Amino acid sequence: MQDDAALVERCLRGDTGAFDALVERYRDRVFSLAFRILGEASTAEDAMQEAFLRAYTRLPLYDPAQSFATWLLCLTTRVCLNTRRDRATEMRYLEQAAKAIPPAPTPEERLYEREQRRTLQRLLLRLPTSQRAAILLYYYEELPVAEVARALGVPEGTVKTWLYRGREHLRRWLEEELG
Amino acid sequence: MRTTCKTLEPLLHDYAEGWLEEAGRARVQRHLLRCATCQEKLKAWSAVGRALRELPRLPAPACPHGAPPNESEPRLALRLALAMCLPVALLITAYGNHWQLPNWEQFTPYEPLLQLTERAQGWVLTIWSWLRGVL
Ligand SMILES: [Zn+2]
Repeated sequence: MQDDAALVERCLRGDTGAFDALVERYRDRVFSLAFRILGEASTAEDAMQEAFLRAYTRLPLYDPAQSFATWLLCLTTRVCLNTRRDRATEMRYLEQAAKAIPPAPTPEERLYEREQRRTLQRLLLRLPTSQRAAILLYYYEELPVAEVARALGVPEGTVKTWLYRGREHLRRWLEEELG
Repeated sequence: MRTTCKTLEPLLHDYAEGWLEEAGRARVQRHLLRCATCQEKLKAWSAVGRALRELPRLPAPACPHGAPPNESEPRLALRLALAMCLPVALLITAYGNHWQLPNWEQFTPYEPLLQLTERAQGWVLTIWSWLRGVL
């Protein structure tokens, strides 16, 4: 299996099969992130398609010093944040989304943890979108603060504040719901 | 004690993430030694962080909107090629009408071209899905 850099290289030389390979490699990851930011499957799927299209057209601008995964996930986040939706629609997705997300249990997982995870997935959607995006990029995708700041177009200090507020909200809400 | 905890909270978060310098770390540690509430909060925060990191990855839908695989479905590359045609045609029309090349000294082709391309992709994809519907 070729690494990302080799595939990008082939792609820039006009080998479209290489881009298909990149799509295949990252589609679940891009979809998961989009789904967790947007909270709804068909919107997330549209965002995923848009993100890959953009990645393809912008590939000549990609700086190989950055990891391809990071670049793609940042791009995906920006696509998601540009998906404009009013707050009422977003709240409507909230309950649907909570039901739609599979709990994906592992055998050794304790019941409490599974319950906590399911609740967490739902509570995430209560956060303001950019705060949620910051939380997901930092904790879920494990990107450094500097990359998160670049992706969201805000100073690093703002990202740190969002992470702090977001996590504190989640802690408090989890405590309220699970005791 | 209460106000100390409240003012210390952002610092406690930075401490939990390992973002603090030596002095700040010492200050938080001194407080933690005699504050069970903040110890609990720290523990709860790392539990939230861990739970977020462990959220399961979701499988992307295999085909657009769950449709079964379809042989006539064009590959992504083909769709992209089609999507590129319109902006190229637009540019040719625009410059062709004036029968002159733009002033390359002041012309930065990339950004506007990209924006145009991205906008045009939207139209082409819409037309494309409409065409698929009709055919
Ligand atoms: Zn305290």
